[in-house]
Amino acid sequence: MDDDSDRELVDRIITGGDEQAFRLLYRRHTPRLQRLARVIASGRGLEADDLVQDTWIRAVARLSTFEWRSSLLTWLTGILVNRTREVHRREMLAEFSELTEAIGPWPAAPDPVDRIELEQAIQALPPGARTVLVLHDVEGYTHEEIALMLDLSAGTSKSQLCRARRAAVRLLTSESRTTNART
Amino acid sequence: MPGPEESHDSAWRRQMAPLADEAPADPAAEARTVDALRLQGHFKGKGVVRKGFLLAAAVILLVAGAWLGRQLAPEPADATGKKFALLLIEDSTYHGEADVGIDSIVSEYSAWAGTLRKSGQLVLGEALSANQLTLGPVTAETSREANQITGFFIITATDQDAAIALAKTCPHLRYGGGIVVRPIFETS
Repeated sequence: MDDDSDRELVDRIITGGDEQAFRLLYRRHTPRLQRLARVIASGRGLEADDLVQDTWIRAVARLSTFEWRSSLLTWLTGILVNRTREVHRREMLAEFSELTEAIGPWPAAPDPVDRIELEQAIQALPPGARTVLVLHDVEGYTHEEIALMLDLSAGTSKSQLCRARRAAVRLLTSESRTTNART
Repeated sequence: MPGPEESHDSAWRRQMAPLADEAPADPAAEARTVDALRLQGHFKGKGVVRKGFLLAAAVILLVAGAWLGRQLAPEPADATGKKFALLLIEDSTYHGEADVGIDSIVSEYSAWAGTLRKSGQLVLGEALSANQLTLGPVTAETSREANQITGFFIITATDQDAAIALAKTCPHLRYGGGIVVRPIFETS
């Protein structure tokens, strides 16, 4: 049963209420969801564990409506991201409404930094920018997939990514200056 | 030869790689999720809820969209009025927490209940935890629907029309929730 595809396991949950099938899906996909939740939840009214649990509960309630137009993980990610949007809705609407689709030059990737500095810099980003940066540069989603998840245009996703990367570079550069000054 | 955008993407993804660590799913979190889904009737067979199992308050808020009601010390209710139960129900149409946030929800509901208390019409008001154990041979669907009751008020009113008119002023309806109004049989 461990080798069953997502589709087979979902069918078993829908048609037979198969708890073991759910547990297999849970173990297969929760590490990725947990990783994403840890970064985008940011502890502001949301804890990563609660966000992941909520995602699964909402997903199971809607499983019979899932049409397999994307992978199951992409669909689960969309549920998780949209739950975050509900909480940060006003902030994110304000962020997205300020954007035009003009991008400007792409900022170069920062010099290597340790994980803690990277997490701190990303946590400091506005929620919309943080979400797009993590979905694209950590989770590997395309702008088209991000656009579907966040109900944006792909162009807005690119603009948001560009802005997020610039902000991340500024934060990482100022943190690295502070670290060097201390040593 | 990758274009400039693709080159930037590769470089950024390499630098973000430290964030891509995964840890295996926590068994305790898995158990909580399974318990919550079992309570909602999604799995075959009604499992016994583990003793002492409680959903975290944050999960109750997230899952049921429940509002944190405080138990209000009721003023003596109008002795001449009839009693009615107002059952607050929520399904996917409820959007209160998403709209205005939990703090505003608590304030609004509490203020409404306070008005009832001052007029002597509030007997009791409570929020219900989503942590539910269903006993008996009822169907999973019935159990699931029962879990959609997230709180209740016991009020007094002169008749059912007056109780309905009062229920219509409850903020719960404004946020997409439903209210079931049921007379309470007087046994004394």
